[in-house]
Amino acid sequence: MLRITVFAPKNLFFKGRFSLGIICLLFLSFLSIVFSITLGPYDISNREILNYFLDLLGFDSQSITITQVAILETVRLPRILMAFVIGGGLSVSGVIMQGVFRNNLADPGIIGISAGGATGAVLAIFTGMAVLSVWIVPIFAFVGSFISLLFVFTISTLSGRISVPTLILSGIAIGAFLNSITSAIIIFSGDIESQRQMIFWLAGGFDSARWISLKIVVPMILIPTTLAIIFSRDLNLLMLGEDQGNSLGIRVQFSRNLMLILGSVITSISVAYTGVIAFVGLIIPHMVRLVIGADNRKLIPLSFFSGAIFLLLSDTLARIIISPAEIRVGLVTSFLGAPFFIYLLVSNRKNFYSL
Amino acid sequence: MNKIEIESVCLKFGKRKVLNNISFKITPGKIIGIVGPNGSGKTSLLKIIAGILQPDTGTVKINGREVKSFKNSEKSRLISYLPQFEENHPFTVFETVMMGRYSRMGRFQINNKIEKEIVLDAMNKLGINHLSESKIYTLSGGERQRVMLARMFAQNSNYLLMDEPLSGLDLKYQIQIASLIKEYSQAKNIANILVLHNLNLVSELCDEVIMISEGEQHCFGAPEVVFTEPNIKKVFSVESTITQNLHATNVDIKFVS
Repeated sequence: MLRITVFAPKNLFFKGRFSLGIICLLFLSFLSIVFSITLGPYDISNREILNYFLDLLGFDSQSITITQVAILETVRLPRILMAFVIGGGLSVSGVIMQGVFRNNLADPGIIGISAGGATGAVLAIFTGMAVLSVWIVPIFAFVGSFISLLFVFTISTLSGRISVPTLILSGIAIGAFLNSITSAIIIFSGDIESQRQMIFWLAGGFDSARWISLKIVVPMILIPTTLAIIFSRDLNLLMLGEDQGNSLGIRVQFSRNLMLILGSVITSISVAYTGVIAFVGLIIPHMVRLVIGADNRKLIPLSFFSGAIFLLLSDTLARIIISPAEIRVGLVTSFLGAPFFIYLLVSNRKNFYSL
Repeated sequence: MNKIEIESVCLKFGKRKVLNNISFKITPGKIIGIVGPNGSGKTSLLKIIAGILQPDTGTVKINGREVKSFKNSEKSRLISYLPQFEENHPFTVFETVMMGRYSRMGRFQINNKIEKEIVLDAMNKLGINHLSESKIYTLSGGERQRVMLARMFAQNSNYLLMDEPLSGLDLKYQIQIASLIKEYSQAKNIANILVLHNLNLVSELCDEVIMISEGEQHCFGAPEVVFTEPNIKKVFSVESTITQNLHATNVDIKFVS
């Protein structure tokens, strides 16, 4: 048989590009974490922060005051880590949802998960149970998002197997239903203070981040993310279509359910601890895809770090922009995200595929 | 022993009988054509053979083993399936063709020279190597069809099941791909099953033809046995005249309007 050798163009070797991307993003992550630590309403100089870390490493350096240590350890560091991990998780869950639904406009909120979480949290505040323990709101939010997920799943599997259009449509319907319940609860809650709390919660934020919540959030986001990276090849095949996936070697139903569960766990845990943060799951995967392409094996790790950096910087901005007060990070992401997203749509109108 | 046996396969979608009691055997090195009017169950039959759909009753055996007993990864090394409709997704041509190799690669094996060469070779055969870095959604219908064909050849399996492989292609590629399919099946001594609408092409390309009509197996045999005026009249409700092609072994079908 005639065999013609062709020389592959250089950009076929994405390996170099991918590792370069990872290295750049790791470096940027480091920079943005350092940058965020130094900023805040309470003045701590760079030298003092350096001293703090040298202390941690065992070097006996010039002292830094107890107040400064307390602010770094109990306020800034957990908050920074929380923003970093949640940002990464939300964009990974965006990649997963876009892959499973084969639609670039899918986002973790689309199947009603965020709406369920919001209803749960608002209910916890409304019933007054929120004051009993710091765990009540996250637990209610998590249960709320899982109940709405179960509803959507049950409706869309009535035919025996998951139907993607039914999944999206029932997600939208249940989301709208839950949002109306949430609004009703807010309106009927007579207490101004709890109304304020509820509305605060609807635009997510990291001000309540503590080490104790990080102990739950970090593994609950990193484990699904790792699994998603391991199974990213299956997500590629899912994006081709059911028949193709089946004939190219994956168990379509199993892979799809696994991916949906991973994405849902990440989203529910984020909603439970930080409230609703829009646009990260939509905008970050898009941007990364424009640079590196759609292969999920590269897209998931790169999106994790990009989303982490984006949300961390957004949160830092939210902290300092009207310092000493602060605005909610959910507002910052929407405020920055929406115009930027429109810009992307307009400037790349030929490069977006839609179904 | 490359053999496919289809035994009394029945399939229902709700109350509608899609396939009723289809049985035939395919021996190695043969190219089989499935013909029939729209909605006669051709695609369902092909999907059942590919193990994508499960029949309600009846069995499909490949090499003596039931198709449903294969793991999907095992199956994809044995059977390739070319779907009827063009894909629309944001992967590049190279990435898409590479997916044909997934079931032979480890999960984290992204860059492998041998695999890459197989992929480039398949792309070369279909004349799409210049599109290597283009995204699928930017391609024309015919180009997408060639990408899917390249992926199927890259899969390098023992059976090719193709639903309308030549649709949307220009004349040059229709001829080229028809001869590629023939060459591939002779070189590997394997069976191909094609769903085609062009009866003349079937008679030229295929060794055996199964004609189905409303889910019933109307007849099965060599093209000159199956393509008779009464058969075509009955299944397609079209008048035709059939002549023996003097230069080849196939028959020519002319439709009378």
